[in-house]
Amino acid sequence: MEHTVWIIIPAYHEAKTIGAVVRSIRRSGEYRIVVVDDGSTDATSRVALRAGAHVLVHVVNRGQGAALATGTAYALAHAAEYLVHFDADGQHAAETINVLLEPLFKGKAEVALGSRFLDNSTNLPPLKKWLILKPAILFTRLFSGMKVTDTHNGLRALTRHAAGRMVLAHDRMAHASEILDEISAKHISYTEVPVTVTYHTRGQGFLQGCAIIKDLFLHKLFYP
Amino acid sequence: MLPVQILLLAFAFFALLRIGMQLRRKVCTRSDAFVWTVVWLGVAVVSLLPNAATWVANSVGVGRGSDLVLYIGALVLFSAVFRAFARLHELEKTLTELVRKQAIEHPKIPDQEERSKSKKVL
Ligand SMILES: Nc1nc2c(ncn2[C@@H]2O[C@H](COP(=O)(O)OP(=O)(O)OP(=O)(O)O)[C@@H](O)[C@H]2O)c(=O)[nH]1
Ligand SMILES: [Mg+2]
Repeated sequence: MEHTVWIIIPAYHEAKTIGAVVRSIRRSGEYRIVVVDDGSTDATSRVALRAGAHVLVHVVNRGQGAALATGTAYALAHAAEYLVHFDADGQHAAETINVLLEPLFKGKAEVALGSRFLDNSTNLPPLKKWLILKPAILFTRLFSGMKVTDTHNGLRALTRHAAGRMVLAHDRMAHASEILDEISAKHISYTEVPVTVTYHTRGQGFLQGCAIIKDLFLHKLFYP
Repeated sequence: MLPVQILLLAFAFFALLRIGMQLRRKVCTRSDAFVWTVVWLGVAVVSLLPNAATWVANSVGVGRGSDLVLYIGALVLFSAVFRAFARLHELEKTLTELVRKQAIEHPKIPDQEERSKSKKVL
C-alpha cells in the first residue's frame, strides 16, 4: 500500500479478542496497528504485542476517548497519513477498513463514519437501539445540527489533516459525540459508510449505552 | 440558650478547629481557610445573636435572619460545588496528560520486543 495507514484500537480488558482482531487486520492489508491498553489488568498488552501490534499502555484507566487520543498522537508522530478507529472487542470486521478508507483515498471526504443504520446488516439489541442510540442521534441533531444516522459507532477513518485538527478532550464514552461536534465546528467534510457490527448473543451493550447517555449529559452540563 | 444554638455553636467551633488544623498541615490554601473562617464565624455570631441576623436581614429586605443565613449558605454551597467540579475536571485532564505522556514515551514495538528476547536467549 502506498499510504501509511494507522489503525488505532482502544482496548480495555480484551485479552480474549484482541489477538484475533489484530491478526485479522494484518491479514486484510498493509496497516500499522497501535493498541492502546487502557490500564487493563489482564493480558491485553501481551496478547496484542504478540499478534504484531504496537502497544501503548495507560498505567491507569482513562477511558476510550483518552485512549483514542493517545493512539492518535502516536500515529500522527509516526507518519500516519490516514487513521482508523477500530474496536478491540471483535465486533468490527477487518474488511470494512478498506471500505471506510476508499472515500478518503478518492478525496471525497476527510472523515468516513461507520453507520449501523444505513443498511439492515447489523442486528442491534432493541433496547440499546431505541432507548440509547436513537435518542443519542436525535440529541446530536439538536445540538450540533449534524444529520448523521449513527452517532456512537467506534468505526471511523480520518485523514491526517482532519485528525490533527480535532481536539478530543473528553476522556470517556462521550468522545463519539465530541468527534461529531469537532467535525461540525471545524467544517471537516465527512461521509457515512454502512458497516456491520456483530452483536454476540450475550445481550451486551445496554448498561454501557446508559454510560454513554450519562456521559453525554454530564459533558453538556458541566464542561460546556 | 436554645438547644439549636448550642448545636450550631459546637458545630462552628469544631469546624474552625478543623480549618486551623488543615492550615497547619498545609492541606488547604490561606484564601480557602479565610473564606471558611468567615463563614463559620458568621454562623457562630448568628447563633449567639439571632436578633443581629434579623436586623441585617431586614436591612437588605429579607424578613427573617434565618432565611438570610439559608440564602447565603446556599450561595456558598453552590459556588463551592462548582469550584470542586472545575478542579476535579482539571485534575482529570492533568492525569490523562500524564498517563498519555508516559504511554507514548514507552511504546512496546513488536520487532524490538522479539529482538530483545532473542538477545536474552544468546
Ligand atoms: N481504552 C478504553 N477502551 C475501552 C474502555 N471501555 C471500552 N473500551 C473499548 O471500546 C471498544 C468498544 O467498547 P464496547 O463496550 O463494545 O462499546 P460499544 O461498541 O460502543 O458498545 P456495543 O454497541 O454494546 O458494542 C472496545 O474495543 C473496548 O475495548 C475503556 O475504559 N478504555
Ligand atoms: Mg462494541
